[in-house]
Amino acid sequence: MRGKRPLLLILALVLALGCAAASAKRPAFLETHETDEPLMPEDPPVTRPDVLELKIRLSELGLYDGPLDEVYDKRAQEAVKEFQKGFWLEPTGVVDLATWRALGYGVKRPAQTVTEPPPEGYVTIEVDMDTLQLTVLIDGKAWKSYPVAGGRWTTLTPVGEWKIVEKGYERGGAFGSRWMALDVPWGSYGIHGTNRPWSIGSYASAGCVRMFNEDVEELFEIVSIGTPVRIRGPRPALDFSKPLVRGAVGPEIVLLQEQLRALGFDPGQCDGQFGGRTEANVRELNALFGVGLGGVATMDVYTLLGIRGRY
Amino acid sequence: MSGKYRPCAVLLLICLFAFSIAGCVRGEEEPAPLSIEGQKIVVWDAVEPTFPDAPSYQASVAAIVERFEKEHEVDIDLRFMTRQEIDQYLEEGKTQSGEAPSLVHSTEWPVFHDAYRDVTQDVDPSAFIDAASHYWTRDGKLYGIPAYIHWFGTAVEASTVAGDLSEVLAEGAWLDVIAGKTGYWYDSQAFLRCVLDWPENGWTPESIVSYLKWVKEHYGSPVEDPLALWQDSVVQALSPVNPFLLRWINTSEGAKMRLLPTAGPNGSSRFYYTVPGYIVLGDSPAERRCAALLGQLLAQNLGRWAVRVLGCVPANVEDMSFYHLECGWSYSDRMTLLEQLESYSLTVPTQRESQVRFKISQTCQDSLKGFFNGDIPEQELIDKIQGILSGE
Repeated sequence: MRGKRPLLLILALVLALGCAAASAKRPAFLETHETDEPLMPEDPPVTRPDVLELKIRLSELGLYDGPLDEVYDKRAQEAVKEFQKGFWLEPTGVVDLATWRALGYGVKRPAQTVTEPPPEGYVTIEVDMDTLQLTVLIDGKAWKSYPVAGGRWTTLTPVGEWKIVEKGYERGGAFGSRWMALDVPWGSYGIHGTNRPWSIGSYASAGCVRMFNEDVEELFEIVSIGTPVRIRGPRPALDFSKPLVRGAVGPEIVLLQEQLRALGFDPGQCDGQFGGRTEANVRELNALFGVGLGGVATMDVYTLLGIRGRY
Repeated sequence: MSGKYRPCAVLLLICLFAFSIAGCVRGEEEPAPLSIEGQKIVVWDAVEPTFPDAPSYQASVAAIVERFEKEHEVDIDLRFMTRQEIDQYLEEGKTQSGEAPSLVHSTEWPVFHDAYRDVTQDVDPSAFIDAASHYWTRDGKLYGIPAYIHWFGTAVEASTVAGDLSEVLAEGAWLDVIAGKTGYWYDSQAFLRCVLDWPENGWTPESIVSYLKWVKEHYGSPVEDPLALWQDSVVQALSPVNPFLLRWINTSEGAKMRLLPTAGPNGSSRFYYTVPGYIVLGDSPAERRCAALLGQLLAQNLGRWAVRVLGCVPANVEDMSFYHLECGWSYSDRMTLLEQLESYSLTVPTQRESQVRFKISQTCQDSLKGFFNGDIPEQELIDKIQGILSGE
């Protein structure tokens, strides 16, 4: 063993450097949406969104039968201690990375229906938040689907047409082993793995698309920077009470762009940005239907597009 | 010459005369049509909106172009452009998308430019209804291939104006029905032109302001977003509406709106028409002929699409049966649209005429609210418009 010690030290150093490099350039959603901060048993109790996921899992394991909410209360703390004992972890009630990981033991990823490597072709991704499935399409044809978790009702996954703008590795915390950032203009969102695999198939995230780590690792190798990602599903309450002009950004613009396309116009990517192309389309719509001049989306434009008062 | 040879000489003269006549006749025969085989042309068509349960215009154009390419062994580069891109190109003659087009959709607000080619040699003007060919004729030459008649009028809740359109117009009953209940698009290009682009009205500052006063008196204060207000049942009539908007309105849930002409201050009620079509550009005769031949097919196709989807009158006489069978209007409404066309005598405005109208429209739009609210006095508006007209 003594002879091997320098080798182990070098290996540890390389690993540490690798991890440091990976974490040095982390996209914003990794910092803001989910957290690897340990959950502490405090009095008064901490309230955090991930407590709900914790309580759901403890309840599945038969260790907790209290209210399913975001408050890390005494009963939940006791249940965590109980769980930790069973897994030879120190029963502190502190939900750290080791505890989260242990909570995921036994969660089975569904059997794969497609095991061959993807064929050559243009890759696009479609995420359906109604069915919680992520589908990889090759040259427009569905090749393989993966189960995912989506955003909670208060933090919905952004519907629209995005692109992968960054890719990276993680160490297996809340973001699992891989992440891919999307170019959503009004927030930081992405597709990533998880250390809460029991949440896959539910609406549990802060808006990101969560996948099993094995699945996200497979997906990571298939996609590249620029791969289009189309997300469909429920939308938040949208505000069409005011005119929209060039420069506006938000989920309202995504719907505006989608409806323009449905009427035969070509707004390009439904990316939630009221840019030159969207403005030209609105101008065309105004002129064609004779309801105004210019590229401003007014109440009449919303009426024509069928989005006024609907969202 | 002895009498023995005289009959022969006469015969010879007759033969010579006959041959010369035949030669002359042959000489007057039209030359063989110019071959277009091997031509490569760029075509710009406009994107038409997609309505539920309606055929796709874009798909039909693509099919026609494909067939034309095979039949004539030509190469067509078909591009669908926005109306803004087309207007900008026709105005400035510059294209950002590479090659210049040889055939262009004129859009619903055609403007005459010097670059348009006379298509009389390749297109028979008598194939179109008079109003349509007249619209595109200048100095006896046809400068566009008419597709359909694009109307502008007033949409009124059908239940409020029962009866034949001819009777409704004669009585003017609908004027009372919609008084105070009409949403006007003051900022629409069609607002002033619908009424003032008639020879008897004319574009004088007084006629414009007199019309606005009449609107103010009969229809009340200006409103914003009339379509939204119509959806909220605040107004029962909308003006001016065009075929696209009326089609949209009537496919909306539970809506049944009737097309009526636009009311004018002198008791006249008229539709305003423009005639969208295709314009041939380019220098080479073969290129122009190729564009003109394809343009006729595309114009007829657009005309038929406009009949079926929008309820418009086709420009092509041959397609009048489609109009009567498929436009969706009652007999009375169909005939009124046609009858009004008979007295229609407008032509495509020149760029200069169009600019003046646009400037006046803009001035009115800018001052309109103030005028209607009483913030801008009548004389100030007259002076503003006078300034534009004298400036031109």
